[in-house]
Amino acid sequence: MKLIRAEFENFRLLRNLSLDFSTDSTKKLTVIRAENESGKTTILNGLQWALYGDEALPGKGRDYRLHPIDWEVSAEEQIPISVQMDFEIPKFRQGPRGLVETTKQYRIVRSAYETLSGVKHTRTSSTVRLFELTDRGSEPIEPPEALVHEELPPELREVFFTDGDRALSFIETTGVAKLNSVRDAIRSLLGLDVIKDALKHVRKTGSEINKAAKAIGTDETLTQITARLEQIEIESEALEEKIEDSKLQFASFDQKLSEIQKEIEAALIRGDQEKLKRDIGQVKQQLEKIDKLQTRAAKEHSDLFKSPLLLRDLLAPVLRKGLDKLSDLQTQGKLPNATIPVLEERLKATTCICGESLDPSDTKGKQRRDHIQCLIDESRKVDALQGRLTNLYYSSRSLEQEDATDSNRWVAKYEEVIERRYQLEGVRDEQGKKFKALEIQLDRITDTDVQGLRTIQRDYKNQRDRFNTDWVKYETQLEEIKKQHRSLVMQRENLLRQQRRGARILARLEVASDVERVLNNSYDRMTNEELVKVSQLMNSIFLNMIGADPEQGAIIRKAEISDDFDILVYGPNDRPLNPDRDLNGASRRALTLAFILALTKVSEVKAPNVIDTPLGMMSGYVKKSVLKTAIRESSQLILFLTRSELADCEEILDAEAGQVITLTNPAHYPRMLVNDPEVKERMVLRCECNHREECGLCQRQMDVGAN
Amino acid sequence: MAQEYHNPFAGIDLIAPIEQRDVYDRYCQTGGRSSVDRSPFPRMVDFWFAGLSLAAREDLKPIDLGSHETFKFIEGTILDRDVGRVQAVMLVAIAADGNVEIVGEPRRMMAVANGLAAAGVPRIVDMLQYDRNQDPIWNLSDSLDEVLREK
Amino acid sequence: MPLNDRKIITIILNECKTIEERSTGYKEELREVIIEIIAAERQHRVQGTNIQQKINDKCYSAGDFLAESRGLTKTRKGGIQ
Repeated sequence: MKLIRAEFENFRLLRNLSLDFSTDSTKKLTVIRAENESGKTTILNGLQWALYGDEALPGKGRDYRLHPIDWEVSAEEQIPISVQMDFEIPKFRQGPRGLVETTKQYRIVRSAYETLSGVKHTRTSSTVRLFELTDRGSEPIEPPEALVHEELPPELREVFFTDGDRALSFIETTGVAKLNSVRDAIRSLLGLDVIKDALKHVRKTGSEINKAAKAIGTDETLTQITARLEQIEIESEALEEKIEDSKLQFASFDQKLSEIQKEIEAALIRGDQEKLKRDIGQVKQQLEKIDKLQTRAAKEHSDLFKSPLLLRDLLAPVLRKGLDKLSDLQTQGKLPNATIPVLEERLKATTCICGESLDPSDTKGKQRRDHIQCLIDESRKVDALQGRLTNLYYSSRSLEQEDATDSNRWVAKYEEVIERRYQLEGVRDEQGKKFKALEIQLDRITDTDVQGLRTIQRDYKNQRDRFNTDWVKYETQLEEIKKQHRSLVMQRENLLRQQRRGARILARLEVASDVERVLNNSYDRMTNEELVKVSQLMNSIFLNMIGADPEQGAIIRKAEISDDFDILVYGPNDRPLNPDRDLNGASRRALTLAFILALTKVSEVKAPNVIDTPLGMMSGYVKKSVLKTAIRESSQLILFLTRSELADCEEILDAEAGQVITLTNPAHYPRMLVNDPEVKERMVLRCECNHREECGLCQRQMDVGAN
Repeated sequence: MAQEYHNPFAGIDLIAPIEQRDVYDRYCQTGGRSSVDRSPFPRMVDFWFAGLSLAAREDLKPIDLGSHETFKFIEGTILDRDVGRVQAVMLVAIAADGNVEIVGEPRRMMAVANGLAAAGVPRIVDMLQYDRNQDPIWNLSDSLDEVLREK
Repeated sequence: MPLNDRKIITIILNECKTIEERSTGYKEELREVIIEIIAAERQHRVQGTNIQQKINDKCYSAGDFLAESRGLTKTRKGGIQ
């Protein structure tokens, strides 16, 4: 199949756009130069809509508007939307000298109407019409879907209409989904489904002939054998279905199992909830302890301000002055006073030191006693002051700093306190951070019930294993009845030979069996040999594409498609690589393109490869090599390229491109376009500028154009 | 020995100018503040004594509180068990008055002490508020540390 | 006709070579039957025909050809005898 031309009417940004594609087999490349938001994805969607209808639109077309967003519409007006596509298909027929190829041209037109009501829109279901274009005009073909589905099966949409990012699903998705998309593409492109269907029908034919053998009814053994064969065929079919089902279920649970395993691992990396709670508890206790120590240290700090040391150190110069005064008194002999005790001692006796009487009953003695008492009282008055000073003098010496080393004991104490507080603050900080981190971890896993996941994991494992057991069991059963089948077929053959009406039936059975064998062998050959070819070609295309990449070239040694349809990549020493993680963006795209190109090449399908942004994330030699390889391996290559993708590839396009056009979105004026396109409506405009030209419409601001 | 010592200030009030009431409340834990770092002084008498000590050390002129409106924050009995402070007040009074006989007049001694404290407290407040980004306890400690290291 | 019939037919034709020549012209007959079956399958996908009946008929007619050519051989042999 080759695309010839496409026309779009009111399909989103494509109000009125026609595209011509190169059908020249020596210049297979068509380039549509367009920057982002210039309708590339819309064209890709439009072409697929024409072929497959709403199914091919994003979200299967639900709530997906088709008419231009700035459509000015009066109520009840219907907006006509259509995409028309001309294409040619090679036809083969068995001629006297082998296969003869002819070409037929077709036109497919899909149209629909949308009605606006406020911001909502409704769309009529689309109508599709297919015509064969001949010299005599056009002849309608009914039903159009059948031919389209036959020529470009929907499961191959992604092979032929490749969105640089979306196609990565061939290598980026995992498990069953990935296997299925790769397997479906391979089966479909290699035509395996047709053979599979034919096989099914031929087996049925065999059963029908067996019924005829049973109907002969003249030989009881033959009747029994044919009846048993009939039963075995029904059983075989059921067993095959069961095996297929078990395989799928096994793969599905295996996939689920690996997903949940990943989830558990991730949860375990984040932390086990119970352990985390224990850790948090411990850190909390630690924090409480540190908080108490900090409070105590702060109290100690505060106590420094009522410490006698502060008083002494702060007042040292002042106290010295006061003490000096007291010392003076001491040297003057005014301190201490010792007369009072002597006089008091005397008063206790009846005779004075001088020998005079101090007897209170004696008048003289009494006078002397009164005099002494008076002396004592006066002395006491003076002494009260002196006493205080004496006391102060002696007791306050403790306030005096003894020498230089004794000074600033408060400062020393303060340094100790600072040290302790700083230290505690450091520990508190550390534990606090630990606590916060644990709390965040706990928050993150609050919803992850590891135990619950483990239960589900066990359940999945049990289910997977059960389906595995079933699979093995059914296969053994199938093998057993096939053995029986073979022996019964031989017995039937012998018995039929003896029957009068048996020769014809036997011959028909032989034909059915021969046809079945040919189809079976062809099927096996295609899956085995052709798959190997696809795998090898993909490998060589891929290595050719990335060979110039020094970063990836050293890592990637081989890419292959496994027997179970998995795309695998290997590094040195056959170490398996994960395309998702170990390949850079350019290599992943290259691998996807290599798979698509190898598959179309091996299948010998002549179909277009329409690829949006194939060279994104690529540069330099790799980009050129990917482009060259894609052109070489494709039968018709239609590329949507931005100016930055085109950069450095101009010479290749000079040589290889049969058609280059440029699309421009006028809304890019004035930010990115130099000239005002003077278009009021939002729509994509086409000019004939090639990859080296610019016109008043498509000329872009230099800095943006270089993007 | 403390218990043998007579506190001459037992019946006399410790006072401060009324305008200092706010800082007494703010920087003393007995003012109802619980954060040690923001209210570094355990009791008002410690705040008062810090003011008194700093004023005496820096030879500030005592403020005559006779003409001031004042508030009493505690009685002298607080010094009963604080021999060092009683002695310090006396020695400071002797040094300020220049006459040892002041020791016989506790009220005058206390007037000198209250006057010095009133003069010193604003300096202490300056220290407490030295760096707004730091808690007062660190401001005060650092400032005192600096003062004490200056010989 | 389909996408990659050339591929499928080439492979099928190759496989036909391994079939036993049960009678003169049998291999040729069988090869045509199989190509017709594939074509019928293709057509069935497009037009939804009664495919089982078509395949039955093709197999039966090839079987009848085989039976008859064997019968002829037998008769001729019998005639000689």
